[in-house]
Amino acid sequence: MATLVVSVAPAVAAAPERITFGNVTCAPSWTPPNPGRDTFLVVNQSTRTATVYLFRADSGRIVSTLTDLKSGSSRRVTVMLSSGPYAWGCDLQGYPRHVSEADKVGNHRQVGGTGPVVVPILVGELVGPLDAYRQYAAAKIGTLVTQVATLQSAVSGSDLGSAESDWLTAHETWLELGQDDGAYGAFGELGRQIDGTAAGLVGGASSPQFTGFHKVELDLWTRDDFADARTNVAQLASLVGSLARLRLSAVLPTTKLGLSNWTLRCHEVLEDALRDSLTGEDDYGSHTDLDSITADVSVTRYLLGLLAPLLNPRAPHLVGAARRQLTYLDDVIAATPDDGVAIAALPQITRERIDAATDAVLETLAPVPDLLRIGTS
Amino acid sequence: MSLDRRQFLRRSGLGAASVSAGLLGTAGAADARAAGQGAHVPEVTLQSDGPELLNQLGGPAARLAAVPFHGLHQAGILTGPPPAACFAAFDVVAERRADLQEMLRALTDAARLLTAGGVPPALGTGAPPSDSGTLGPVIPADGLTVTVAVGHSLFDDRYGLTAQRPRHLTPMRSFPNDDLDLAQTGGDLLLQICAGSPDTAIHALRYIAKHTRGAMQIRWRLDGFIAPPRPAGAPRNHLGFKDGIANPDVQDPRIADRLLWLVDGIGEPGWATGGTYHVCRIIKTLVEFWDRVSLIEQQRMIGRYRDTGAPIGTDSETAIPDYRTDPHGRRIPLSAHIRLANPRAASTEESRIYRRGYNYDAGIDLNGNLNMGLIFNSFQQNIRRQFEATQLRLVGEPMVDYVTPVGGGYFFALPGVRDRSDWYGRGLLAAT
Repeated sequence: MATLVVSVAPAVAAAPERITFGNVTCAPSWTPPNPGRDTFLVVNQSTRTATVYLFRADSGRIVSTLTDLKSGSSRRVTVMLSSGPYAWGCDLQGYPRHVSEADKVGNHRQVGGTGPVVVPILVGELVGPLDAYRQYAAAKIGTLVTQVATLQSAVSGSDLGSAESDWLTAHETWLELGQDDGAYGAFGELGRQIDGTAAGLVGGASSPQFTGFHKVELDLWTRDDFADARTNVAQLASLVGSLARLRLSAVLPTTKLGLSNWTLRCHEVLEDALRDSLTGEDDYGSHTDLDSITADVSVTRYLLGLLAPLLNPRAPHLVGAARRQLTYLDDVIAATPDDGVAIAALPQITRERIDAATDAVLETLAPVPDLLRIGTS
Repeated sequence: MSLDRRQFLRRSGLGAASVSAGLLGTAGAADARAAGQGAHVPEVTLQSDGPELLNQLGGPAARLAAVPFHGLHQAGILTGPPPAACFAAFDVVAERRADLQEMLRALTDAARLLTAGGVPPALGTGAPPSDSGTLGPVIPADGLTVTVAVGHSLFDDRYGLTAQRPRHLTPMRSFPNDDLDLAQTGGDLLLQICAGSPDTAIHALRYIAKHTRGAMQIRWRLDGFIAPPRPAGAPRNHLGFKDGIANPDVQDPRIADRLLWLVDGIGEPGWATGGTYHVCRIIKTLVEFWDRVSLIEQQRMIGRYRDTGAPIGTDSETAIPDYRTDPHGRRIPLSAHIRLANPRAASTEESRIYRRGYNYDAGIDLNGNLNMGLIFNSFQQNIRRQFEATQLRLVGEPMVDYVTPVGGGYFFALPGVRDRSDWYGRGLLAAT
């Protein structure tokens, strides 16, 4: 559901800057970072053992000292920098001390102040929850493969009633994975192929790049075309087969970036639902957007449960409030009498209640990625 | 159906004589005052800092001065954007080439009169009034500009213009993050109407539509505004960030001839010299979602501080970020919008675009969210080399989750109307 996943990685984690020393050079053209915590990789390219300092160029205060850095070796140093001029100094055994040029750490001071600061969490604290999620995802993918096979046989038998109901079952399972196809979905281009809409594709719904669930939906509900549906459901089965062959540890890595992207799912699943399902933009005829939301609520609740032990100490009321709001959203949808109706055809007050319930839980969930910001160890 | 210019003009009550003389009272507010009409209207000169100027003046009586209508290039491109705008794309439904020509002449007459301002003619008791009256009895110039651009579809086989199509004028391609609505995309002709206040812009649209009735129909339209400086510098967009800071200096003719205007000898039709490609994109911003993102993330996505507009790591909005000393994106992430859009490298210098954007605010979406965003306008010499190259660098940037291009089109802003005997598209229609 939604816009394309694309090839550029959304947030590239920057490598620590290399600070190099030679027999005569000292941190040539080093770049000071922004104020705050930062890590440098100090590399001794000289022929001697070195002692390296990072100091304030205005006051001379030494911020960090690395002693006994052997020739050819490197070491990481993490420091807390405020705004102001800094420089590196280096003592090589048998050489006079040499000093880098001073450069300034930016002096931006946020208007109104930064407000309270949350303690960052460590990579290790998220490994357990992610591992549990991988097992959950593996089980869902297994179910999905079976359900798509069932859909395929209903389509082969030209049994429209069964095909439509099998499509819905399999689509809900896919959504319960919680990786639909927002730009941060773990399955990247494969996720788009499985459940992307035709938005952004040249030629729209007739583009050969439009594949997967929504293509089959179009065949079954709108075009009533079993011949095309057979081709497209076979392609869906093949895509889901590729999904089952993915190594989840590779697409859901326990790196800082991988973990950050994964915790985003806790709120982005419903953000995608608001954008794509509650506008009806991903409805290719089945009018099952409310079923989609129910599946989205289910995986959001699951992710929230995994993250609750980390969220509770940082925001004691968040998880409880979000759970109540998710239940309310479920109740509002369950009370909607118009099953199988397009979102646009729902009575306005019904749509407003569903929108309001979704908006409310999204506001509650918005701080989750900030609360779970991963620090540098 | 056959329409001629006299028919357009009869409807407005303007005979050929009054057309050549302009509105009664002729040359704008100064003459209107001389004629004893209305209260004193303060005059200011429209400059690149239009919104700031208007803000300083304050009050509803503040009016911008007339922008000269005649010239090698159309107004509304180099002239700094005033606070209000109306964008309207039309499908031309005139049946014959001669009808198209008369429509363009009527459009020229209307734009020439409105941009100068003055007293509309009195038609007496035998006809409806010649003007809607929404701007009062004396039409103020109010910095009005009417910039006319034509779309790819005008060069189909209807009017025999196929051979004269500017080389890079194609239908707007769909980019990977787009979700284009055909009802808001394309059109034979685009009017960019800018003015000191919304009523002036809408009055002009209404007047022009009346005087070209029967020959073209509005296909889509959207009103825009530029916020006053908050608190200073470039105006802010709906994301809360200052926008349009890093434009190339197209006031410098050497830069304009390299990046903005079509010049002789670049393989374009001769009639097109002095024009420029106008890319207009309706880019919805998902503001509710954006407001649920932390400030740190917002700033990393844009590459600037939200409060000051300064590139991250610098202390002024006009500071030039030095990416050579930040090769790994430690200060400004490699995927930040400002870094991808303008990498500040020699290799991307020729792809720079001149932007002239407006915010829009247009009701709500089906899901109850606010429907608002940016009317992105860029003017450039070559769509592929400049706009498309820039846009392709932005494919997949983190910000795409928060913005959705939903409409607009590629257009070609015609060369300027040179003098009183010239009209929009004269060179084009003479060339074929």
